Amino acid sequence: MSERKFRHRERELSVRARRDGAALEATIDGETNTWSLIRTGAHEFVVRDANSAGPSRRVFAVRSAGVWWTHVDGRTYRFDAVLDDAGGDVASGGLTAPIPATVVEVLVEDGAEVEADAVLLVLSAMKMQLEIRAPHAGIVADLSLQAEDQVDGGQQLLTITAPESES
Amino acid sequence: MTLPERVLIANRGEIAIRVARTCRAAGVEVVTVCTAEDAESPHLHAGHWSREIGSYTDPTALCDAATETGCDAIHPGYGFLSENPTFVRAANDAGLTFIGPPAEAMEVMGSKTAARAAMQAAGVPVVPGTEPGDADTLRAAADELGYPVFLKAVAGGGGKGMSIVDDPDELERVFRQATAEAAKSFGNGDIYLERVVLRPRHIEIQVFADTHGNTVAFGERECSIQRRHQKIVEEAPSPAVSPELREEMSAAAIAAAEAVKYVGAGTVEFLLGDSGEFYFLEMNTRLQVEHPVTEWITGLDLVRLQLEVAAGSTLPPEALNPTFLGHAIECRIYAEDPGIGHLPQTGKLLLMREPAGPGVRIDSALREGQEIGMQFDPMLAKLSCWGPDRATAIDRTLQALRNYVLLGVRTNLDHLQDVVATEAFRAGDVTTAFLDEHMSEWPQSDEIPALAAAATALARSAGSSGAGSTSGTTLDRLASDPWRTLGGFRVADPEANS
Repeated sequence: MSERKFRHRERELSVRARRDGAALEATIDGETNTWSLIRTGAHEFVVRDANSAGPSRRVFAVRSAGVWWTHVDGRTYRFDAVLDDAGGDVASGGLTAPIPATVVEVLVEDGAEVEADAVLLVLSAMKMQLEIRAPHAGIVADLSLQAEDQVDGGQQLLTITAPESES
Repeated sequence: MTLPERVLIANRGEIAIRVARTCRAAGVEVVTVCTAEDAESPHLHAGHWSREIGSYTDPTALCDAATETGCDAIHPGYGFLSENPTFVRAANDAGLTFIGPPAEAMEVMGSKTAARAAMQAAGVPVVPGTEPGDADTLRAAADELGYPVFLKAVAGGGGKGMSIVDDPDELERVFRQATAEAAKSFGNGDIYLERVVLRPRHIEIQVFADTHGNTVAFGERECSIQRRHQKIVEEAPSPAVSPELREEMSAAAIAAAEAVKYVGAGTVEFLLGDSGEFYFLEMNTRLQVEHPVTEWITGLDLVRLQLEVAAGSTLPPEALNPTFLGHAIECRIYAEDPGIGHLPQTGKLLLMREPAGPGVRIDSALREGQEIGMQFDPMLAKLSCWGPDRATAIDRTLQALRNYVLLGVRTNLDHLQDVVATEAFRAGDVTTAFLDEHMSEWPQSDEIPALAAAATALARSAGSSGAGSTSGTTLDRLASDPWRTLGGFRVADPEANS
């Protein structure tokens, strides 16, 4: 049984799953389902609800570098691994660049206290500007960027430590 | 039928592959080009030979490559140099046939003010507006025309260099800003004014002209659904165009093309107001991205016709008297996130399955393992579907979008499904404000089916499929390129088809 925490867009979820031959059992945010499946390729499956006569569904799944991709019933899902608190990252308020970009402006200093939704950085990519805002109130840390720096997609820009009352 | 013998395709990606397909089917040899950073793009293998060039926008380098590889013609595709008169002249000076219109026609249509004047002279309706002028002149004109108005840069286009003014008191401030931006972006600060057509549709007419005095129209394309003034869904015919209106718009488009002595494939774009009035917007002097929908409903191969016209042939009877059958819809698939303002996305394409079936066409240049970067346009593929009627075309489009699997980089595939599935789209009720009116909150639900999350437990690492980078670099290919290794060697007409 593996357990992983993922982020899917704004939402976080925990997935505990076990695959045993043709059976897949998964508990997602506490709710358990089972399916039967056959693998039809390295990354593709035909899946059916284990306890019903429901139709078979084609499922595609692949992962690479901390990102899990699935394709189910015609829709695409991207799950980003969320590390434990010890690992930093999203759980402790790390903010990452959504796409490769250039830093236009840095509006806060390392160590500054910010309100939720405050604009922290302005990035520019493909002639568009993108504001990076604080997801919650806290203290800015790990900020070493300056205007005109280049950042990669997924690169951590800074972290915001949660206020004491919430940590 | 005379055709060029060997064509250099001065483009990349899906359009290079699309042009190569027609050339090869017609027995025309193909040379493709790529830059060093683009050497993994699948279009490179679409031709018989390939050459590395410094840039897709260097006319001299492209003409040299064409001459050195024994080409007699250049196809520009769309974008890059396709509407650049300097490129046309450089090609002609090098003794190459440019597969497109004459430089003079491009020049007129490339200048908003010159095009507007030429269209007015030819009796083609244009949006009421002014010549370039200063803030006071434009203010007076705007007060007369009524607000809102657009301030447009003479040298702008494609949605760039235009600002809307709702309030008379705002005009001067917006004018100053627009002038400064235009001077900076385009090297020309001239600004003119145009009335805003409210809730317009974007309708364009495909025209074709040969060098024997024939100019014809192949019907319209409805291209209203746009984000940031870039189209994402196009269809033919338009649900808003009656046979009578089609005839009127076609006549205007033909008049527009004839006024600039047009040759080859061109598109005349119109704004269509909700009471049926239409105005010339601009003419695109090249093949359009969305040309497949016209090919679907006419059964014509527009690239084949381009080759024939470029070789001096008369348009064939099926083009001179086109007939229309059924309905076609094209969706542009982009590496972008519609959930965060359609921001371009990058990544490695880990898994790809393209749909197929009756009435399904894919124009793409993708392979598993490909890096999707920021250096080129984020369009990944075009899906176009035909049906005997619009409802069938919509059903097939939805099915094909659901069966399109692209994992490893975020795309707009889900968003396109939601666009096409709206009641408004089904009803044919689309305007250029469609996405703002119907899709502003996207995704509408953050629901994740249990199976979608559970399937993460099935995911193997991408490398395990064997997908990955292709072996062999461009230099390897170029080393075996006969134009490099055999000096002046040329193949003598291997597949005569004339």
